[in-house]
Amino acid sequence: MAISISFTLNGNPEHLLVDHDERLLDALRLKLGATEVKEGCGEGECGACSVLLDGRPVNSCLVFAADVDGCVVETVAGLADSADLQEAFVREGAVQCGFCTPGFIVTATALLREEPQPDRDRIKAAISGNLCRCTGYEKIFQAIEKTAEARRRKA
Amino acid sequence: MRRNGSEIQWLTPGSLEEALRFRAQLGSTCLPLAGGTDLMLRVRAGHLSPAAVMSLRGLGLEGVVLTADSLTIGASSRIRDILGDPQVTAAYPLLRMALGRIGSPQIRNLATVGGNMANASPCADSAIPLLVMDAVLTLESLRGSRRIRAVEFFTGPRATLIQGDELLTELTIPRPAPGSWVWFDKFGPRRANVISASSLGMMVSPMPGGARAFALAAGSVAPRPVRLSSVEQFLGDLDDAALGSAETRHQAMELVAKDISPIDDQRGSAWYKARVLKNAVERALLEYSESCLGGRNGN
Repeated sequence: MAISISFTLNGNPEHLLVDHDERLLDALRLKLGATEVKEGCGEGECGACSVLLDGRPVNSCLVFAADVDGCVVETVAGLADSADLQEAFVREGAVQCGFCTPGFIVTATALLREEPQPDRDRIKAAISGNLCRCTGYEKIFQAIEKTAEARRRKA
Repeated sequence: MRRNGSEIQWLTPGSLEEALRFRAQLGSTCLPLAGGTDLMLRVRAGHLSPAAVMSLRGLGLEGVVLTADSLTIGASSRIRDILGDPQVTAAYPLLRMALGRIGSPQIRNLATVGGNMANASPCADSAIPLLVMDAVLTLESLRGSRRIRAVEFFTGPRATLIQGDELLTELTIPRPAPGSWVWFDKFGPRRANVISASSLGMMVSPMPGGARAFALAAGSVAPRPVRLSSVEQFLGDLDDAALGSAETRHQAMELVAKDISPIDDQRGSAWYKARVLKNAVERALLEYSESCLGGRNGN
């Protein structure tokens, strides 16, 4: 537990002691109570553990916690601009068991920040690192599309 | 066997020179960490038991420089950043095709070309364009620096010419000749997050005097990513009419076997990998003749 790190989590400064091979996923869940970050596969294949690291979606199960010193980390709980997206997921039936949902919200929020009006091919590419075993993905695409459309109409 | 966690150092050198000093002191027991997308799993599974893990962040190895003659990629450049540079992707479409199929967006946001190469999986997708385009890798140490051709860089599965006191710092790719035609595909159970069961990259470059140079590289079919030199030599000697024929495609497919040595593993049987690769060679040649040789040749 020798390594001291300081980083920002959802806007708040955090200081932790971590082990050399401690995953960011575990530091977040076990030391900082950020259990909204889920472990699906533990090997970077499912995207359930996705968080934003310096604004970009990453698999927190693959990130060395020791290496996030000085970085900005956002989990689904800290994404203030995802409220409408989250509501769309619920309304459109994009949530069944809900376990993959935090990861999808993180990835889709980053997508819409970078590209406010993505077409479906772009959406599919952006969420290709997130797996869902329940929904068959169609409702997820629709939730993202409808969020983008509603934002466009509002603007 | 995992070492006791408290024994393993975490190093954060402030400069490349400091990093090289650590490597000189500790050799290959000092594990350089860039994106870490494969290292995390291997360290936790005990396949790697370093004395120290050394973060390469902030050493100035993240740059991407495009000139009229070449592209130089810092070894710690994130794959996503290379893909996000429109001038680079326009000048190097084969690089764009291969890097764009690595992992997923989350993986590409962390992973680096330097790491993909140094990790030296026989399935490494970034190796394909680098082999095809004859890239050169720069290895630095306190003793100096040396440049190694990509085609010589891998010595076996997970093994490279990187010495214990060296770091891979940059990769340089010459510009493809104007009018070069490229093709890439990789194969596996799904479209994203796939470690290739078989992969193929091809470039056909116009040469002075109307000749053509063929470069083909394949992954997951040998202890390291390989150039298909028997196929290249065969194709390079042919004229347009011969190149467009089904007979040529079949001969090229047969010659693939000379350059590969696949094994049965969790990604497929040796037979399957060879079969898929041969089919890929056929498809690539068919597309080449349709694009560049004036349409489908019916024989």
